[in-house]
Amino acid sequence: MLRPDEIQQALHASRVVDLEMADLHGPLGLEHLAAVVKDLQTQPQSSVNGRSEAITITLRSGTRQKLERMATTQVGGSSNHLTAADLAAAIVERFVTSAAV
Amino acid sequence: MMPLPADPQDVFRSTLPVGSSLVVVFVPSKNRDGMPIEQDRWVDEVLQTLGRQFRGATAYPRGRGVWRDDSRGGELLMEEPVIVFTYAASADLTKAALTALYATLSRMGRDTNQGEIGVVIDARYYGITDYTGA
Repeated sequence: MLRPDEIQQALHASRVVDLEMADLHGPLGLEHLAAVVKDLQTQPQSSVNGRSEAITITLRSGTRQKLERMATTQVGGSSNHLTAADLAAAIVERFVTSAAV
Repeated sequence: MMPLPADPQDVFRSTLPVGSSLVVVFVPSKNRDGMPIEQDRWVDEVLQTLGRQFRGATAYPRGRGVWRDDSRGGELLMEEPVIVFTYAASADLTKAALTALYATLSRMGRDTNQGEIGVVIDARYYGITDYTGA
């Protein structure tokens, strides 16, 4: 059985959210699931694992500028607009998720 | 003497493995500009992918939904997604199977200009915005 981080990697998912639902099964469960997913997709895309926390980090100005250029050119060809903060968060999330700690 | 509980697989003479992991894909009805997409075509593609990887799948149309595009000032897009789901055996839920699923979803996201493609596997939502796959 794959771990959630392995599933995230295989699907190239930019975020993972734990769904706190008792029953996903059957027509009513799927209707409930669709409603929950609808709500999820109206939340900011930076919400990772359902519990995101903001921290302040200090970057060299050159790094910040490069990050902003990378975000502007939309790394990876995604059609989504990225901010420098979105990109920095994604880089840190990916690094930490793959770290064997 | 109490009768022994029946094994449904024996009773129904079922030969298919019983899947235990619920995999759900949401196939959108519109692109991020609010224009209709070829939803039936993509429902078929997702059904075929899930069928190949997990031996079966079901498409379940539902009422209506909405999606907020944050990169466009929070514009709301009304949606009528189709839910495609399967019960996958744990042994079939492999990196190779998910890579194949990603390839289909990546093409769907790219070709139909989506903000995010949603997949639920065992009560976790995976949001896909990287459409650089095959």
